[in-house]
Amino acid sequence: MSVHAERLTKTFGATRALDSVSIEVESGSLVALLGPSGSGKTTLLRVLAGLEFADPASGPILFDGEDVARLSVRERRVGFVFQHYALFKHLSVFENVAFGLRARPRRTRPPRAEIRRRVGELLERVQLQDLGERLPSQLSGGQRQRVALARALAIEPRVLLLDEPFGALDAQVRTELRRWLVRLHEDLHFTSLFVTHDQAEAMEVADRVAILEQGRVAQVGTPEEIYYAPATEFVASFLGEANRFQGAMDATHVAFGPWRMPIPEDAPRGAGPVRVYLRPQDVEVERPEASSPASTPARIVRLHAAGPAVRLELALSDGTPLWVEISQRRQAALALREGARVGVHPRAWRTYR
Amino acid sequence: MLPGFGLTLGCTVTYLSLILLLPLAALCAQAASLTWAQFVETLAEPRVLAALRLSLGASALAAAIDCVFGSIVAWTLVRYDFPGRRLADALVDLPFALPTAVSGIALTAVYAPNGWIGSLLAPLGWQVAFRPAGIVLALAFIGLPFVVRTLQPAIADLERGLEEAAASLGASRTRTLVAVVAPGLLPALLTGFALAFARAVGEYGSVVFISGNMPLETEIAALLVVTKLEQYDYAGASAIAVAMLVLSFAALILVHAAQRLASRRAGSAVR
Amino acid sequence: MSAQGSQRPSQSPIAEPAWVRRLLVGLTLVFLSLVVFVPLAAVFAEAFRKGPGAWWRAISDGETLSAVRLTLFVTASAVPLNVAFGLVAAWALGKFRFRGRGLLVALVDLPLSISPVVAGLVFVLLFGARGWFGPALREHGIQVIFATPGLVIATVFVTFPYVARELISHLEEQRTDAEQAALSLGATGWTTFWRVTLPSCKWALLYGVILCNARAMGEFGAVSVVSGHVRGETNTLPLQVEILYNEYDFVAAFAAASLLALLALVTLLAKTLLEAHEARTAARGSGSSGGAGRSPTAKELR
Repeated sequence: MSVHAERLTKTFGATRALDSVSIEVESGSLVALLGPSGSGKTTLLRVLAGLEFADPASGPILFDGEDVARLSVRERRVGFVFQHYALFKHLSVFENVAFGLRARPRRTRPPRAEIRRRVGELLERVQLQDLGERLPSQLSGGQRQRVALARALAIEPRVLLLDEPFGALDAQVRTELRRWLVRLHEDLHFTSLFVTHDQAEAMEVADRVAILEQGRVAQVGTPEEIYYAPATEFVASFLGEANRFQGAMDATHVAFGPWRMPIPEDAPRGAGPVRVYLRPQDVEVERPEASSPASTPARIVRLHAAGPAVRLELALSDGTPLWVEISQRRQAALALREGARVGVHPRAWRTYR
Repeated sequence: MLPGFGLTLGCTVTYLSLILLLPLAALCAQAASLTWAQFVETLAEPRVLAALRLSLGASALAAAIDCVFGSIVAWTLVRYDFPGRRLADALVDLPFALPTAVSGIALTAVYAPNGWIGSLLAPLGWQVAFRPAGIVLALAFIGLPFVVRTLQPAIADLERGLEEAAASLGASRTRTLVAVVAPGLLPALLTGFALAFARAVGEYGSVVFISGNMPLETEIAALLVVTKLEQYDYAGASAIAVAMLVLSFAALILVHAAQRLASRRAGSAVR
Repeated sequence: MSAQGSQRPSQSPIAEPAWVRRLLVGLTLVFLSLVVFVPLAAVFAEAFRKGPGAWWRAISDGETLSAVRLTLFVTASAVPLNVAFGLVAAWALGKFRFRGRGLLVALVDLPLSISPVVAGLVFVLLFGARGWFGPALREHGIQVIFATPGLVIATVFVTFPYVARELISHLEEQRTDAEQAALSLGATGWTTFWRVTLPSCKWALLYGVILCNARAMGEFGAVSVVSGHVRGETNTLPLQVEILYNEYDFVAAFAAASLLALLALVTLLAKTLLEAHEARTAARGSGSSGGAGRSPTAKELR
């Protein structure tokens, strides 16, 4: 099931939560809607679900070409997983999952035995086959989230929508459940969108990531594209860390900090002031004596060696701080210490006007 | 540790003993001056039995009516915005704030056969005042705030996500209300019923004017206590009083138990 | 408009169709009108049926005026007693945790579940001519039942929970940090109470006093049993309403009732203002929430 929505606008009073958002989701893909709070990601999800209706001037919402924009949430057949699970407290796990099937009009309601079989299958799929008679209050957070997922899948949704699906869980359960969701998605190949404010989660789980900023889609792409080729300054500053410089560009070079670097072939050109984003991973660190012509001297102020990468806080010769990240191996080869001198130069950077 | 515990606790216990426990002890002692057989005989007297039955039945019916209309009132006050909502919200407290004697004569004036509303009902052959219906009306009036004020916070606390989840699973609005919303409100509704019922069983002021006070027909238990007292039948009055206390405490205890059961089911992590 | 509200895409999926909403709002307004508003209006309509002059003559009648005076006296005696008890009980039950505390809190609430008639009866059993203490007191020339002291005691009985429960629940919610700090700075327990605790619960206290006052002035069943209905002497205003009504002097009865209804309206207004005040304070994020604040629960009404 592919999803295609155009020019969705949603205003609440004076605030514009969505500002002419268009989005395209291929059948079977897992898309993350990522953005800071108030960027409209949850509103977009709710509009796609039919829990909110977009303003009348908005474009269509197509599920496999069928416009569902005027259908109510009941008729859209979307699976929605709520941030706080929204399980029915007074119903057993089994009855929670069976709710959608039992709620169907008599004509299309499956017979009892069939409901029993399908719910059993789903509970097995989410590894809760033995807990069917429990009440939600007797489950752990991770188990509840899986019940919520099974309940949403029970209606054989055309699209699965998840609102901050792991937001309420603690870190370890979160990681487990993330991997589990990816595996489930690989098995079942439903089309799904999920909202998150956690970049790592979006990058790890999703095939594609849509970054939202103030009710607009800033960029859509694979995690790699988004990370290494942020389309806008907002995306560059929102994802990961970057050293920021005020720079100036002329026909051939861009000057920022202590450097004057040639503009790469494929980069935008044009003279004038620019802002330059330099990721910590994109800085080359060398011994001062072996430094290349582009290198500029720097001093290691602090060195954090815990974790997979070594993080360096450097001071350039004019005192400007510079964050750098290098591999453990590189650190070992260079034998860096706090207070030591090094040469640094940028390998890659991005400029924005 | 803060000072003053012994002093204030001592004063509290003394005050409670003098104002509350001593009088109640007098009541129990008076009732206990009857043998069990005499006690039962007093309550089984046709006039007493009729009064207790009327108080019990009218209170239950009034509390049930309050549950029906109280649910509607509480729902609209919490969920909808309409002109006059704040005024309506304030009006709900009036039965509590209005002295019961005033409520009594006001309801009687309005629902008597020549009253504003009574005169409209009379041609239909419906008489409210001076009939059991009038008693139920007065008790429903008195009990309304209990049901509404118990339900309002419960409705406000309902998790919207539950209703949205039911809708996203394809349930109709009616089914959502019946299968998802109603079970969530049931404990509050039960509490409201019990509070309204317990209040109604002992109610006196708002009822005596509208009830007509015909022995065996429209005489409530509280009135009979007063009557017995005026006849210096202290033991009889005490026996009826004890029966009334038992009825209203039983209602409160039952509901308390039901609530504990419900909250155990819903568990501690009810988010 | 139409009954097809559910089809309109602008509607929230968790709202009832427009026609249902209109129906329910209509039912609410009709029910509240018939059961609550119309009777209230009737009080004033009946009171002024023969014009303001008749109303004024009715309430300036000697017996009615003495009933007003008696009501004010009883209230002015009962409310301060209950405020004192409320403060003391709130300190013991709100600031400390000990075995049996739950029982004491339940006892404080108990009068709310007791029929007012029974509340009167118990004092007749204690102080009546044939009661436990009646004869002994009579020998000393003290009459309680069918006299003012009985009215005060019965009123105290039915109204003492109002102040106490407000303060107890208010102090329960508060931590004792402020008091501990004051004590560590060398304040005496007494100073701490006056300068720290009391100011922090003044709104809850006021709320409790308003409810207590309304109930004290309007109490009917309990005082009816202990009053003896001596005209001009032991009739409080609600009892005077009853007597006038039973004598078919409707204008006078409703005139007296209109004073009590006015009291109820002032009480509701004060309560609404206090709740609005508390809602504003809560919205400002000041942590001190109290009885006065939360939308009232039914328990507080009893």
